[in-house]
Amino acid sequence: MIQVSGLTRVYGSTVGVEDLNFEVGDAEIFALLGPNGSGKTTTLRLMTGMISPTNGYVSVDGTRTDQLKLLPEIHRKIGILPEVPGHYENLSAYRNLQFYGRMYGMSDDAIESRTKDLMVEFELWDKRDSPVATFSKGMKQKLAILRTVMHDPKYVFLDEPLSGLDPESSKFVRDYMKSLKENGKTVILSTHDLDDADKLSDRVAVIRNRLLAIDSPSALKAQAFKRTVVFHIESIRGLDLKEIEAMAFVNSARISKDSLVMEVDSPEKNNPDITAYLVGKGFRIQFIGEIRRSLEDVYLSIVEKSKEGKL
Amino acid sequence: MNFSLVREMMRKDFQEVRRNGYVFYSLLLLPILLVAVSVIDSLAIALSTSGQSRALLSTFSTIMVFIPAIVTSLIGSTSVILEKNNHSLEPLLATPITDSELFAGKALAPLSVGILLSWVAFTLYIVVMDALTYGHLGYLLFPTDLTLVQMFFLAPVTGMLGTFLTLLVSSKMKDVRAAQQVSALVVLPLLLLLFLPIVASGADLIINFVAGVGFLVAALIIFFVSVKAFRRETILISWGK
Repeated sequence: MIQVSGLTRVYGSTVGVEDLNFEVGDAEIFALLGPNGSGKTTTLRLMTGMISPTNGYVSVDGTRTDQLKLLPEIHRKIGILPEVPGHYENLSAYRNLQFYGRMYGMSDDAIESRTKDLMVEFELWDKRDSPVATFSKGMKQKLAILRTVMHDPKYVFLDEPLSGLDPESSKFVRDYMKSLKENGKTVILSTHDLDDADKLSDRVAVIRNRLLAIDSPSALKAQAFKRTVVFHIESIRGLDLKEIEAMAFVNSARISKDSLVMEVDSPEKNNPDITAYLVGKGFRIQFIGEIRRSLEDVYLSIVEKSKEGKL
Repeated sequence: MNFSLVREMMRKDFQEVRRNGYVFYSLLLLPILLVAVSVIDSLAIALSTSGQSRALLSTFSTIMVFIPAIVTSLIGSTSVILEKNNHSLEPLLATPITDSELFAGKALAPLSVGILLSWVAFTLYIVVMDALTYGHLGYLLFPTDLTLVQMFFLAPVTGMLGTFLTLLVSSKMKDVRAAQQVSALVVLPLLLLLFLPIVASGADLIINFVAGVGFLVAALIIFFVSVKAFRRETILISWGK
């Protein structure tokens, strides 16, 4: 488990992050979300012991990352994928992985078998002897992911892992992240792609130099927005919106083209009553739907509130 | 210190230099050029009948003492800043390597290449000079005690001083070009200035040896200062800014 407690980092007069408190459990996919300059990279660097906190601490399986003598021990447990792949471009793909394998203290036999398994899985084996400089952006990103998991770390930190990947490779990497979780690994993800964070993460933390919100994507959506239902009606003329708004379970109602849009407490319980009311008034309902809020809506709402000082 | 990590770091740096044709062939050319120039300049003196003139010969071999420092200015000054510019520093710092192991790996790679090349140059100079002068003089002119001190003591120690100084100075530079320029325009001239009094002294063996000890002490001081300055956090946040 990774514990982040009162974590603060100040650069001169600039606050990188302030008083972050959260935990990341085992076998969890945890996403860090935030606008540019919100302190995501600083948080990742603090969590991996690359930089030390001004205040507070991070502990990885009970070992604090600011205990420099114990840092190599922590680093054996973690793998880091930076935002830019950063390979040794003149060296072959195999040599790049071999170098990192050796830096993590793996035996040459273990490196050989692990490299082959991973490169075959990521469809890079045929290119193992080619200099990385000849690779496409997507191939470099895949190789960087292989480097990150080369030593089979327990905690995998990924900064924008799907950047530069085509849709097919992107799906492959998403599936790979899920398989890491299924194999008991913890994935800590920093991403701008809120759709990916929504699909992949068990929990997300929204930060803007401090922690704004943390929960599962579905819980955050529920906290940020009431559920919204839409009734598409053949002809909406004559509908009395005030009568609808007067219903106890309706939080708000509006008409949009030929649709009635309402925020309600529970569509499962309330839709039959609304339907009965509308049919009773002679309206012909074409179909009923629910507006699904995306994590992006939630994120934008949280960040906006933070900018307005409401969070 | 985990020497297997240091060795792997060195090996990787060697391979990167080896794959960079321009730098690699420049390095190979360096001892050949220096030996050629030294042989041309010193052959007339070597063939002269005056023993006093021949004592001046050692000043020509002195230039080879600088090879490790020159190599460092070519490849050592940029090795860390290049890692940062290529974004390979962060994954590297995420491995279990300690700051001092990283420093040692980065320092030893150019230093050992430089020392090796200086030995190649000294050996070439000795063999070529002996081959050209033996028929005329009737005895082997080299190696002298002074050449051996220069080869096995002064060259490595000057290289150490240059390498540590270069790494320390390059830590304050913004980019690769600046690191190389400072190394070539500040570190090398500084070493040359330190060395000039020794050459001017008539290349006395004792003075060379004492100077070597002085350089060694200076190199060790700079080593400890450099290791202190070589903190991953400083490198990650401040270097190259």
